[in-house]
Amino acid sequence: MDFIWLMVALVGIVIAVSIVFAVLAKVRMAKSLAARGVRVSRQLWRVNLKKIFKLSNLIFAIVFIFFLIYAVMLLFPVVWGFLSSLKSGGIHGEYFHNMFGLPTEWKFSNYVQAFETISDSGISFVGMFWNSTWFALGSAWITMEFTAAFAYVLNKYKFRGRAFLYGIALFMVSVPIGASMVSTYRLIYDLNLDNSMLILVTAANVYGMNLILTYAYWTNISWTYAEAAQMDGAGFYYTYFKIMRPQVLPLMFTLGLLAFITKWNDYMSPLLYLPDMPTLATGLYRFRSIAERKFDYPSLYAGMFICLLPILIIFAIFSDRLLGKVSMGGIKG
Amino acid sequence: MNTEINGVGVTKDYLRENKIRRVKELCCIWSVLIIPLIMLAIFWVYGTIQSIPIAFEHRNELTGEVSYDFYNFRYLFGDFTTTGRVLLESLKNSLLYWGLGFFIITPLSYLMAYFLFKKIPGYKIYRYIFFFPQIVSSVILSSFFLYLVGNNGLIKQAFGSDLLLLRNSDTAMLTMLFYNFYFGLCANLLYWLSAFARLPDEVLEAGKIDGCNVLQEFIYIALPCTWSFLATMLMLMVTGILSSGGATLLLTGGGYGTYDLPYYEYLLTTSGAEGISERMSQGLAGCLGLVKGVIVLPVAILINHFVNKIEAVEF
Repeated sequence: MDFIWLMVALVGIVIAVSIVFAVLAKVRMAKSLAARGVRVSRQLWRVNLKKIFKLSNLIFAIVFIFFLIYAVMLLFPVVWGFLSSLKSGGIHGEYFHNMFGLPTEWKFSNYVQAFETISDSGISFVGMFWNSTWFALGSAWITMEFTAAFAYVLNKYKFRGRAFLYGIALFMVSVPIGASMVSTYRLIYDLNLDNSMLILVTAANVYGMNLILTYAYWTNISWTYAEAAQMDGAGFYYTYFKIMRPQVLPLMFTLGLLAFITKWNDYMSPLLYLPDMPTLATGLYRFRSIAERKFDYPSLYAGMFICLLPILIIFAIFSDRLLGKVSMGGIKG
Repeated sequence: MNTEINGVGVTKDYLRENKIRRVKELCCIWSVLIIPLIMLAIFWVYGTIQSIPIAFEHRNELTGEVSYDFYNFRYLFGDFTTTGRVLLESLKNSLLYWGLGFFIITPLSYLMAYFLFKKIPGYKIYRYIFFFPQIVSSVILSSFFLYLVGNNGLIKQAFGSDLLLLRNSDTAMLTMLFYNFYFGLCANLLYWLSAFARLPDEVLEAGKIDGCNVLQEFIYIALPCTWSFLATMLMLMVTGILSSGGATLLLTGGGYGTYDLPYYEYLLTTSGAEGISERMSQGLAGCLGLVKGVIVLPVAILINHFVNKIEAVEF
């Protein structure tokens, strides 16, 4: 019986949303007609059941409801986590006794406490923040600089072995074969790249999807600029750094941002290669068990939100760029 | 005039200068290429070659002496050892993760991207919300999830249920799959959105004039136009079949039947696998990596062959 009522309720919601969509479509049409100076007749507002129960409208209504539920499901843990970060911790704290409600006392001091108490391998929260910063920023910058220059040379200059080098790139993207995890692990330890900033040199290994994308981007950038500069006496490096590289900066920036976010959130590489230099991601992962023992979840959540903050700021500022609006450079005509 | 190039007489000096310029240019070119190529040589070429002897490496438990034989292969696939059982469990779970991604998440996210492309009401906000899990660290997402379903978690508090979803062999793997679905549904959304963004307006407009509803437009216009991209992505996903895994380290640590192949390889690499001595562990990790590579290589080459045969729709 409950199931039947649930189904009836769902159908009702779908129809209601469908009606809202039909009305919205009419409002849009009325606005569009009014903008063109056409008088909107009463007939437009007449209820048309055929339109409300149109297949497209019903499908849109169902998808809309699914999107809404999924969006709420995605946001819920984040909002809940944020509110929990402002409650008091401990076994008798508000976190356990008022899980759903707003905090009775907004304890912003949890954020200060997170700064003071969260540590790993003797590294403080600030130290972990610094480790995350150089690891993410350094990796992203090195990767993008080397990838852009490598793709530029492959795309714009003719030399022996050029097709072979690009062929390797295509092969590596399509056939995911390479060193096993243990082989890379041993190499990094044998080369003494572990537990030091030297780990960043591995970011200069440019082969991957980014190289293919950057190569394609260079194809769309005219060589005319470089030719003109070279006629005026510009050398190889001047042409690249002053004339060509600025044109590929939008793509470098976008791919660099994505690389930064990936590295900032990466917990596996620091766990494997930087065990004594924990980043925020690894530090919080290890601190989790301590927080669980002390029932100090609010401080843990506060630490997580501090870790999340730089990414949220970057996302807020550059969301358009991250969501695909990359402008293309080049000469028209 | 000493010689002719394309019917134009040039001096020896000009040729020499040209040669010097070309040599300089080549030096500059290789100065850019050299560091990435060294990295490629070390971490890909040498690393890949090095993977082979590691797979056959057998350290004596007592003396630590290294010999090369098939011991790791025999040990890893031994039916009656704990390792064998964990390996089978890992393989089964990796296939489950892959199946979820291939058959459910990918088609669903493709459809979701289509409706976002069709500008469903609120599509701008949805786009941001759906992208959100991609920018948040797995450590944070898994912690939120853990405290929702785990001991003292929100679900327990709200429904009073004693069932700990991640601490029960019957429900742990299902919960892990749900986690992958929950936060991984929109992982490829941007790819699909960029594919739909290339659909020509005039074709969509023509479909609308002919009375296409949203379903017909999807089946007869959007799907055929983006098919080559979708098929390529699906085929490339097949090559990742043995690398599929979930947030095992972050959620269960492999307990309650949730081992997967990448996590098991990680444990062997860091000598953290239960019941396996430190001296043997890395040899077994190398062996597992090599077996995975040997299985995936022919599959990848075959897939590559098919991908090259897919004809892109011209529009």
